[in-house]
Amino acid sequence: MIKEDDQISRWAEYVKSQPDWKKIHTKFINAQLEKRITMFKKLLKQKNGFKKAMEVLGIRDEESFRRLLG
Amino acid sequence: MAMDRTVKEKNILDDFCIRFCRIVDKHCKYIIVSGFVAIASGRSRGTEDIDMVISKMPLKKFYHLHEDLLKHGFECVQSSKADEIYEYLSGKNSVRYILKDILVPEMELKFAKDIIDEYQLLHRQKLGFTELPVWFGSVEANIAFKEEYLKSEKDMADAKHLRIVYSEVIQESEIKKVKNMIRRHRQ
Repeated sequence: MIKEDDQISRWAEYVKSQPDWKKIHTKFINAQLEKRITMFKKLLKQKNGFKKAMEVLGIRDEESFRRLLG
Repeated sequence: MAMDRTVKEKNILDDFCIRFCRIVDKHCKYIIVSGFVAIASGRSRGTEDIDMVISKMPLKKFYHLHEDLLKHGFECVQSSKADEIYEYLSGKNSVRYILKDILVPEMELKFAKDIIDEYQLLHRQKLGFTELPVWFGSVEANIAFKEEYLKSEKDMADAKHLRIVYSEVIQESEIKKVKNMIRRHRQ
């Protein structure tokens, strides 16, 4: 089994030596954020989703959250 | 029109960061610090927030910065009122800005609170390796904070990544200097 420490080193070495690292990295970062954005959209459509989304984001008052949603 | 092949790859975090920094840069000195320094330098881990330290400023100046951010589609999570946000910041708290209706990512903003933040603002750097046109706290200061102050598993991994990627340019004496400052002023 590969230790996490080794994975960090191997990836850092890859980043340093391979110019295509950014392409792989961009896919990873975007996928994570797109998933999160989709999750919020789905959550807001659910019953009590508005309050759940507020909780996830650590927002206390409804008025503020409505303002953020435009 | 011919396609511009020199355009560099940018992810959602990069775009958000550039957009935010472009506005802040018109109003004050700032630095991006902590996790995003490692992520922009290739560390492969998820995050939803970017940390920014800005120089302290009077309320009137902050009001103009806040209005400019609103004009460009950003909203502050804590409040819509500049004076309330200013009060948060002045109380050494951070505030979060997001792009309206999108919710993530977010910029976590705070005023420089001590001599170490001021030092970091003074020695800010553009990191060519990231290909991002924004100001970062120095690699050395970020490593020092992660190893000496934050110390979580995630932070130690970030520091390790930065040490490998920037191994040729890192000044160990500078890391030691910032670690000493942290011991004196933050612990």
